[in-house]
Amino acid sequence: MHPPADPCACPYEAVPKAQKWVDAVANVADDRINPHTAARFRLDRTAKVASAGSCFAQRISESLVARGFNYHVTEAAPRWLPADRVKAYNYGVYSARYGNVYTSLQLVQLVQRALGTFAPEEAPWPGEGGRWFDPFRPRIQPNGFSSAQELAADRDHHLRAVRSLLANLDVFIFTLGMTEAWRARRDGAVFPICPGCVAGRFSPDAYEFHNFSVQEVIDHLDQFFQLLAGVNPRARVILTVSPVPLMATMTDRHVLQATVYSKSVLRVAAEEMVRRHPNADYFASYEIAVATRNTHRYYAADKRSVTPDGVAHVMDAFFETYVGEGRAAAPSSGTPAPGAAPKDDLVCDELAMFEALGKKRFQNQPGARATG
Amino acid sequence: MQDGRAVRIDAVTKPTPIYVLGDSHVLGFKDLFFRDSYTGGDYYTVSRYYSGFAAGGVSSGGALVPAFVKALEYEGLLKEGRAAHLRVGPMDLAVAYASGSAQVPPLIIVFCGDIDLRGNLLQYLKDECDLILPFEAPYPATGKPPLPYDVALQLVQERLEPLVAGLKTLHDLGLVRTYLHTIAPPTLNAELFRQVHGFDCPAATRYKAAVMYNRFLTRRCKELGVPVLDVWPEVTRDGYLLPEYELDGVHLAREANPISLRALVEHALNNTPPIRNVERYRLLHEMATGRTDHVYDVSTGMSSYTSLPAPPEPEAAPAAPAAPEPVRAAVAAPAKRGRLRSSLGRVKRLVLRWAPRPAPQAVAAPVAESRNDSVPKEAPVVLTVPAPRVEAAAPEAESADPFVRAARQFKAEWVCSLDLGRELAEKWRNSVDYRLDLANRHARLDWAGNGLAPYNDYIRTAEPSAEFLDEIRNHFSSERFTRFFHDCFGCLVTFLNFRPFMSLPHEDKGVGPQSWHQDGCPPGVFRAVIYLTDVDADAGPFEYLDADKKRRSVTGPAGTLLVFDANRLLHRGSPPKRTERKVLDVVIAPRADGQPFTVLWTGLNNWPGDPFQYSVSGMKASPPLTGAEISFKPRAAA
Repeated sequence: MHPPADPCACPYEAVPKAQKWVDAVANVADDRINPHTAARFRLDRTAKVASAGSCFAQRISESLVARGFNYHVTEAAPRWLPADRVKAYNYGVYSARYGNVYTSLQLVQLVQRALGTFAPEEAPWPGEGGRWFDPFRPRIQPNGFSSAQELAADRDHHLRAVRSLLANLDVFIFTLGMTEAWRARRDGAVFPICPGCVAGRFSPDAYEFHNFSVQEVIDHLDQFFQLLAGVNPRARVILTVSPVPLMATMTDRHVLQATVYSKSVLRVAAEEMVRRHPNADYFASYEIAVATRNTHRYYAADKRSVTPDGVAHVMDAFFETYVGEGRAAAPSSGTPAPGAAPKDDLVCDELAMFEALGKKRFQNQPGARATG
Repeated sequence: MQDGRAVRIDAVTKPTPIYVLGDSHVLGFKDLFFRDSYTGGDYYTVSRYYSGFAAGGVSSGGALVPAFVKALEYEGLLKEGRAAHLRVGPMDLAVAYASGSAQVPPLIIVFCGDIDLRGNLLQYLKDECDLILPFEAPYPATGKPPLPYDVALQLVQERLEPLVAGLKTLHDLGLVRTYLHTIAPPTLNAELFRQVHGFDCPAATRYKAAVMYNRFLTRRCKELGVPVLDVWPEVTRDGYLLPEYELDGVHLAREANPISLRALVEHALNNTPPIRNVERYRLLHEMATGRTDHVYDVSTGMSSYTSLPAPPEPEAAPAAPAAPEPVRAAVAAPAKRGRLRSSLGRVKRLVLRWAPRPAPQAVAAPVAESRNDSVPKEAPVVLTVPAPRVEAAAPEAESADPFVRAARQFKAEWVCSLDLGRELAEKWRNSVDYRLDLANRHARLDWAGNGLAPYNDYIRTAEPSAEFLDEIRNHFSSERFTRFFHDCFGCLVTFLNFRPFMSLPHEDKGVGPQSWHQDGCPPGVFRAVIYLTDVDADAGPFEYLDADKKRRSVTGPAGTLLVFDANRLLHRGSPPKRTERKVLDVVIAPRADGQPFTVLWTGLNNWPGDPFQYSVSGMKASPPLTGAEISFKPRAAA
């Protein structure tokens, strides 16, 4: 709080502009709104920055790399691997090949597995043609692994890489995606995608749906901070909430309601972490995308995918807040069309799942014919 | 000479060349001369090193690399884009005859792929990546980041596909005895490896990469029908190279050579059917029949004639009987009554018109069971002997002569039968002692036949006596049979092989000749079987699929002669269920100019790779053989 010079004057007289709507939002150009005051800490280009999270987190990692930051990767592709295969095998999408991490508990369990304190009982999922899928990274390789041995060896290497990442990073950026998850009844292991939808085989006896409450997410994130502090006390964490709505909900609510619930829970939990942990900060991706009156420009026609304009605004605000850098160069083609299509290169498990389901439905229809 | 002794030169047996071509691994095979203990044959190696020879040097863009083609032409293996041994131009025939060697596919070993392995995949892996193989392999993890197996496999495939494609092309060109040698096990000496290659790569990684390469090559070669020589089982223990075979960190010691060469000769002797020289057989057929319009499909073994007139529509009423066909007049010429001209030179051109095929006439018969799941299970139609009359659509008068009827049936259905008489069958049956198993004791590289080991305990064979062969020759060289064979095949014939078989009853699935198959006979070669015992449904009758793909079973009394096109008809000698079956099996081939009608017994060989030049040592014949080889000089193709 900023006390006024006159102690009896109205306290709002001394509120900084950034804290007043008319000054910080109403009278600012939509694409110039930066919903942050001072960041808790700054980044420099030598800091080892790592990231994880839901699909939107990939935009953050891409931008960090593009801007020349020291994006810390502990599970890199071989130097000679062509770019298309680097991407197909999910090298460099994140700091290690964990794939998308959608929920808070998924993050906690990833760290626990890397530290050797949690060993899920879920066995690898067999696929067609003798292929094998990692339940916790089902889309990390095109068509899974060639053998269970390869999967096990890769997983071991991956978890070693995650351990090394946690121990050596300076800043960890985590994008909270959703509160809905599928987990194993046996030991509560959380999967990034519902078993049986892209790989594996669903069984209501083995798996259950759960929608985390605000308290659960707070507890998970607290646990994460403790685990991270145990291996890397000086690490700092930036939490952000993905502005991408749910693809679908397993609750019996409208998907828009379920989405706002998820995002609200995650927003509150992130805020609570900032209150509790001095090394935590919140970055307002969600607010930029949904609350700056630019929804029509920042969301594509599907009202879900964030457009390049939206990403650009988010990342400009990020670098301005944490680095003190101005906007990136304007797009060379002039003002992009409103709602310009997003880059179609995100590794999105949800999207893949529904595409797979759509194909199956089509194939099962009598008289179905392949098109396109 | 100072002490009075003179130098004498003794001729040695004609050794068979083995061409060893490719990368530096061929150098260990330079100037070798050896003998195989099974056939007693001698061999020598022709070793040709092509510096830097890698997979890309074999083929590119679907075609053989010109430099490689030139190298093969230099060795006389290829000529103008085709396997040299298949050429039948006047010069080629003259050279072949002068050489006295059977014109069969040469033995070629290609060494290639090692440079690709060490220069490509290992360069990627080095000491930085590990491979996790999706199959059992005794090599530990190295602790390095695992390279996704699919990525490694794609690298291997991209690199090696030109090699396997090129080898397949060689096979397609006629060099069907071209073998790929597996890549040698790597050295275990890390220091030596570093000195040679300039980088480190753990032994486990090198072995995994080599095994991956060899597995890919072996699988692809198998898919394409290219044989592979694999010495790993003998030069390694627990997956690693035995020290006695280590030479210099790259190559195997010479002690490994006999392993490769034995594998080659063994495989060649066990896999002889593809060696038939279809061009020379085609030439023989042309010489014998006078037909220059013969077309032989190598992939199916089916013969056809391009000038064959289209058969009349089934609904069309047959024309009024016309004057006899010229060929029939020639065959039954009153002027040459009772004596068929035996030399093609006097019958300039023999034109045969085949009767259009009528629908087969089924005879109601008991149902016979099938024990082969791959063949339709519907009940076969049983034809009893004598064969039923077949209604011919062509304007031919019906004949009371069973030979004429049988020939017509053959031309219509590619199978026919004749009754030779029970008494004759009994006499012949008693002339044979079925004491031999199916091991091919006469296996050799210029004959197509059975493998070295018997594949079946239910079939026995015998070595016929010289007297028996004489009797067979006398019987089948009669005018009636000469005319009959001429009617069926359009030419005079000889028996390339004649052998007795006894099939014992059993309940197992049929293998070999008791399983459904087509023989892949060379052009103009047909088969015959003579029942020496009564063959009913329990005694394993001859079965075939007719033109409508209907299964037919031919039972008959002892003395039944079956003649059939073993390429066109899917057929088998069905496994006897309750009663043993004794037969005489015959391989019938066109007879060349000046060649007498001969009945050869060649053990378990079927036909020679080259119909004009082949070895006969250890075999029997009537008339008796006078040397170790038979050699004819063919007339050049028209």
